[in-house]
Amino acid sequence: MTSKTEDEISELLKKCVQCGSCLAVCPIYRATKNEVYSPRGKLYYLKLKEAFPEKFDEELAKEYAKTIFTCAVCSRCVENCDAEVKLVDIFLEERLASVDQFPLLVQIGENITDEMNVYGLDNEMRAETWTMELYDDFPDIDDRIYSEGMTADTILFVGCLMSFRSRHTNVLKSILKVMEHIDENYIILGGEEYCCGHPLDLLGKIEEADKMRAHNTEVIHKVGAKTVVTDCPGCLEALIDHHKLDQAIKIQHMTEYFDEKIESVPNKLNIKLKYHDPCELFRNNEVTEAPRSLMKKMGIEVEEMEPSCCGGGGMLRVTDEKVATDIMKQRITIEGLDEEGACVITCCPSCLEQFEQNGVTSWDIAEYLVKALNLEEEK
Amino acid sequence: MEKLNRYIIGSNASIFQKIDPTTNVEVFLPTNEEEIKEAITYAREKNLPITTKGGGSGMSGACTGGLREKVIISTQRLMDVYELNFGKGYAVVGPGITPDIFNALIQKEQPNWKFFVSPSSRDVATLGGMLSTDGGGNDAWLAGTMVDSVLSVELFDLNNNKIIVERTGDDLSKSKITCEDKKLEKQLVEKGFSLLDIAGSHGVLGFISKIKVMIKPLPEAGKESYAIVHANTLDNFGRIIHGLIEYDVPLTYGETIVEARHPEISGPTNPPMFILKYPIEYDEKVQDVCKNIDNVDFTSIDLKEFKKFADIRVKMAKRNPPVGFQMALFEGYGIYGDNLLRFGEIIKEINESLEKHTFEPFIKFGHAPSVYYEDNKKIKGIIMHSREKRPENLTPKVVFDGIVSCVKTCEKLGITPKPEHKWPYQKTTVKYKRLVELTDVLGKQFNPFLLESELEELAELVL
Repeated sequence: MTSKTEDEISELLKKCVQCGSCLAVCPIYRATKNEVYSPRGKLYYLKLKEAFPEKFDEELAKEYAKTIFTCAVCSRCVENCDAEVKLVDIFLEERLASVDQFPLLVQIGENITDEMNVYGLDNEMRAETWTMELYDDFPDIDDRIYSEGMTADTILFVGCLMSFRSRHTNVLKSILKVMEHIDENYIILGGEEYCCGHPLDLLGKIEEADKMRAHNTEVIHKVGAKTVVTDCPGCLEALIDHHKLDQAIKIQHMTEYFDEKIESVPNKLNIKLKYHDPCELFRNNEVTEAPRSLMKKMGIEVEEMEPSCCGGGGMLRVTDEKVATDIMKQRITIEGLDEEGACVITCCPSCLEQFEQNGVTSWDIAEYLVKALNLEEEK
Repeated sequence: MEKLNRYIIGSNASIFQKIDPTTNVEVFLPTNEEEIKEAITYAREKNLPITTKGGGSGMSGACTGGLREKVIISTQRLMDVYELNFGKGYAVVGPGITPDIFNALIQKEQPNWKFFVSPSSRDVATLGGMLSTDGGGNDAWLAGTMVDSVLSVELFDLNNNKIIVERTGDDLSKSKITCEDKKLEKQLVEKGFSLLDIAGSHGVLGFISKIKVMIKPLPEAGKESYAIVHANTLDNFGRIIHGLIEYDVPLTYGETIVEARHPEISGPTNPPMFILKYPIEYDEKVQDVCKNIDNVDFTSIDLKEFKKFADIRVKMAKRNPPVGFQMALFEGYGIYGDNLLRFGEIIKEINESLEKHTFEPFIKFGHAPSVYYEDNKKIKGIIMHSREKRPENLTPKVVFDGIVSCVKTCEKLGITPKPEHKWPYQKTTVKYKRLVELTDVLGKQFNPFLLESELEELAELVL
């Protein structure tokens, strides 16, 4: 994304005809039924501010800043806008202008710039946090962690969420099992993997994000990898759009990578599961076919759901947990996820956590893939 | 968020967006009848006008309340479906529900049933708003406008008296009135208050709190034909509408693109053109209409192609020109009768009027053939919508002059302009006089700006 001038923002505002079609698809508006949280409402504020600058004060600015950060950045408004207004671009500009009002977000920003990960933990622990749990399955896993001079064909870019949160250890274990099974020459960057910068983008801090990316790009080039794979759609977007990697390097989501590598499986699962399209994967990266193709090979019959947000994106779980939960509650009701036996399959660590934290049984596609390949015990 | 609420509530799709946010004294988002009454009581006690806001998708700007201080009552949380009765073919709903959400709920229980009023803005427009503007949609030829689907309405007056207005038969100008205040009931009965009065009243008569509407089964699947029809001239375009009306083809979908000065729209559609859906047994009749007019191309299409064209049509209302920005200076032109046979002349005069006032024509489109009510009479023709390119120097005077010119052009041509943007000029119409007569009984505190404002002051609201 680019940082826009005031004139550019003004032009974007004129494009908006205030038709309201964004309300119909905005998960925040659907959860709150309050226009202040809608994309149209947020743009109207800026239009009015241009027209009546003397009627705007600090109190309003604070209220507005809250609405700007109460957004899942799912881009469904952009997808639905027939006037072609780049709404998310405007919102991210506004985030930059007001992020300092939110101490927790400031802290997250500092965690990344100081420690290269969203949690502010020692970045050297990035690989150790989860690899130490996998020694039984992968005794030589330390050989897969990058150190100066190592090269490999493929890099598994893990991302902050999956590196530091224990829920994802099983997902990573599954991914590694499949990579070993297909005899992939891969490494993990470990402490040399810095945050992809996506959270900083969501705070409007592009410059700081670019510093992280510059480092990652340098390391990836040193490794000489032909492919970079990740299971995190946020990281995927950052790697593709903002990392300035050599054009010859293929950057893929885990589902794209495995769909390419795996023709068939020995153990067709013959199950029906509800698939949740992660917004950043589906809408921003346009990866829709690969997960479905992979699941079909695995013998999973996909029950399609509305491609709507789970409430886990845009740092919404940090900025407004209640709204994030309300969005998930609506999703549960609309899609019948509270029915007995309901189970969601997805391929994003943030979505996975959001579903599980709201009581929905959920798995990553990789966790089923190992079973379809007879690499894992029964689920 | 209370202050922000008062600012944001003015957002709407009309050209009247420059609403001084400090004139929105209070905003209510009621979820039930008690909260509606509290909101009305507040306004009454403060002696403030009340403006109702639905989805804000209408072109009239009625939901803005104009320039004066007011209380806004939003219907966005009044979305309940109180009753769904498939046996008798009706539903009772809150005014804030949209057709899309309503139909999703209907079809969850009965997949082949529907509420049959489909405006292009059916994802945002509320049923209360659609009744207040008496909106129609692509199925208006058979389904009529919103009022044709309404069986009864509950509304609250300024004193929180609930007034129930019920259809008694096919004549919508005759309704049964029930009111807690029997004196008021008698007055309204004497005035002949009816559903037709509420339709197109733009929130002037009270707060609509519940609507009972007809729901019906869908036509049998696989028994419909889809077609696109191109005319080589606008006169022939008008003749096609005239012919379809004469032949009384029961179109279940009728949309048109009249002109489109955008290559992404005109390229695939080649206007002027029609997108039609009708029962398969009428294929020959539709083709006969086309054969009787020179240089008209009729093409049968499949469902996939139909959806493609319908998608272009529904999206075009919000598109911007290749350069610059669009606006809806004068949104609706009702063209009917013999005027359909001189369509080219009409478009030429409209465009000349616009260009003379620095508004470059951009797109024109509409439902056709369609029906609408004018002075309680049902008219068959086309409701044509228009979008222009926003002039570089847009001032209130430019807007005022432009709208006045459009009104005069319509009067000269015998076209029915929709009331939007011409509130002050409707003072000569039957509808205006009727609303004044009824508000003499019901009170003048609901959206009074619509009946009292001059165009000059409304032109100040254009952003």
